[in-house]
Amino acid sequence: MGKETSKPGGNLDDQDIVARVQSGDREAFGILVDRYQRMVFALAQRMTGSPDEARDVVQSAFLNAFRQIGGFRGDASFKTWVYGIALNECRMLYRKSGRTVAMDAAPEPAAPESRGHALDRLVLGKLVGRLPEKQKAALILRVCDDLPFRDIGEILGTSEASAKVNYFHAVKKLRGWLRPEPDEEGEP
Amino acid sequence: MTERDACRRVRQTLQRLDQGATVADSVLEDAAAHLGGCPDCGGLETFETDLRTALHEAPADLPSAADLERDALAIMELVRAEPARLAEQRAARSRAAFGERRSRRARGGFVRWTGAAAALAASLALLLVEWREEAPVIDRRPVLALDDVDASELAASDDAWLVASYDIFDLQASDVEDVLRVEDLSDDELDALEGMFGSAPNVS
Repeated sequence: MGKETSKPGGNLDDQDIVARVQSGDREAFGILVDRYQRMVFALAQRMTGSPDEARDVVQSAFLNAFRQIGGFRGDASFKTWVYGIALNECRMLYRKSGRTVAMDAAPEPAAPESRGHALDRLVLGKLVGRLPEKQKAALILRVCDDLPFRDIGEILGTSEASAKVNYFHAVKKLRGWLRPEPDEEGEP
Repeated sequence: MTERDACRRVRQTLQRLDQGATVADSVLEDAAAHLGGCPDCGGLETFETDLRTALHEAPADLPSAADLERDALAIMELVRAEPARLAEQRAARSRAAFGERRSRRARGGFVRWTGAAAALAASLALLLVEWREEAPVIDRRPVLALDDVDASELAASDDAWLVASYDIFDLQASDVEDVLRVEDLSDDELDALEGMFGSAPNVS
């Protein structure tokens, strides 16, 4: 449950650290920042597509986590909880900037897939950025963080089934953008 | 349901999701299961592997260690600036709890005094009622009973009583060993009897 032996406060469980913070030990919160800063940054960068915006999201997410830590009951892991806060920050950033993503945004022309089936990360990153928010979040949390669908559902505030469908829908869309599906009459 | 029907149904589900519709969990479960296994709709395993390879965290995606450390320090500076609020919140919570205890005590006292006053008022009211009830109460039952008697019956009963008065004498006379005969009464005794009963028919 979040035990890290190679980081500060290594043997301490996340719940123990949270309890310390809740009782007033603000420096203990630094341990949680150290543990999850990179993960939250990676998530934020994939969601926003911008390293600078991702750093802003990370700062806001941890500050809000500290402010709300009195209400953290340990029903979910700290990682899941702070991921949810980070995704909310991404959503608010999106709304502030007035950015919208069409539900069925037309993809940019994709680079041709190589024979080794390697996908161009840059192109893929752009295509992922065009996915609707929940699909994008489900995809990133599943592919990049290997989170179970139950945890993804908790982070997104949806059911596990909804998290699965959002994920598969995202993957299917990406594949369709990269490799148009054959029509009923045969191969394209 | 044929495989094509299932594929079409899943496509419709995904279209509804894209349009922002709410879809039941059971439908989502079916769609997820189908997408994971159908070679036409899904067949995603290979693609997923490529996707993971392409999207998975790479060193170039993250800031440098120095940048990360600087960001972490900035976060902790903000956190340290928050303690006043934390302390305020704790103090506010303590004040709220103290105030609640005080108000609870006050409420308790108020409740006690209110209860005592209510009990006193109720006692006084009961006493008042009982005092009023102790005033002589006329038993109206005989009076009410009289009202129910038919006037003709009452009159008849008087006559009967009058007639019975003679019978009484006779009965009384018959109850007595020595029969009292009217002939044996003196004039004075007869006058006294008449005075009691008013004018009497001729008695023989």
